[in-house]
Amino acid sequence: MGIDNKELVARAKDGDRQAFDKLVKENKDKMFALTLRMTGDREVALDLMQDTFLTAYKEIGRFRGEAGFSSWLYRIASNKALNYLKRKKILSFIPLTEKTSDAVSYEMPDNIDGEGLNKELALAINSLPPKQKLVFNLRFYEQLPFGKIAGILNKSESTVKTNYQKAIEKLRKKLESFR
Amino acid sequence: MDCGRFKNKITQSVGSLILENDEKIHLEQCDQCRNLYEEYINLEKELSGLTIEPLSAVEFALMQQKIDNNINRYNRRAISFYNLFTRYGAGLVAVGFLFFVSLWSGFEYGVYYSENDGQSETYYLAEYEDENSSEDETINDEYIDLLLYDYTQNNGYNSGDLLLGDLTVDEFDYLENNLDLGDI
Repeated sequence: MGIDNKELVARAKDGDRQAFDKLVKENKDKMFALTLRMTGDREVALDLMQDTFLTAYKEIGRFRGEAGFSSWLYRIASNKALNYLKRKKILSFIPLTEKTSDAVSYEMPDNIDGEGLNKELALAINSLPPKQKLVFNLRFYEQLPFGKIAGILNKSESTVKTNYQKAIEKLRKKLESFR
Repeated sequence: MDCGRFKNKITQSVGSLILENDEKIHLEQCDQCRNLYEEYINLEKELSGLTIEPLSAVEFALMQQKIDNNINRYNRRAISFYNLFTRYGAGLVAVGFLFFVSLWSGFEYGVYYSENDGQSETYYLAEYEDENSSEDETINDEYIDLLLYDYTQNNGYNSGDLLLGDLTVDEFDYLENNLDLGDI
């Protein structure tokens, strides 16, 4: 956490709304990417992100600054996303609910041939167990080191590595089966 | 380097696949690991291609507005709770304090003080009980028996003069009407 960031956090703790708004602006893209990749739904991702920042505002007094502010936000967002997926899974067992597509609204780049492959991969990512999906997204897309992910998820580094390996192996098999 | 270690290392590195020298040497020697490495390279490429549409300025503005509204609502609630506490909380604390003090000092709980003279109701009750707890003053045989017993105990059996002198008019009348004075 940079000195400026520390100052912003300290000011936000004292109730400075402008400082908190700056922290929101600095972290919005990262939180949005994570929540969108986890839920696959833009509206839900926006809701979770909004919820994340509101929780951060309410609980900032408890933030001790041992980890970075963004790590703390990742932790809140991760918990919210996992809770959402858990609720969604429970609701999916209730009959007569309208089923929606599970595919993440990824943008399909023009330079990759075969839109079907991308769709399959997107579905494969979405079908990963929530914790594996979270570890995969934090590591692959957010480029966080394993140690930091372990801190965010409150797990050991080896558990996080195992989760990542399992996710990668599943995705590789999916790609292999598609070709 | 063996295949197991290589596979373990490379699976963890997808996303930032960079080979070290001993890994490169192993790849040149092992077809199986080379194939696996190529698969991971492809996977990495495909996964990197899956981009998401970033948060637009409009979406962010809307979201920020919602966050602001929620924060304002939260602050209002927090302030109203603070106001409630400052308005009534101090009173509650004072009442609680007095209650504990009264228990501690042994006061009877719920003592009611009269509006007029500040004396407690229990005082009046006690006084009323004292007034009404005195012995029945009706002069009858039992009363006279008790009176005679007291006198004989205090003055002996031959104290008839004293007895008659100490009697009240009512007592004397009763004795005159109901008893033979010669007995006394």
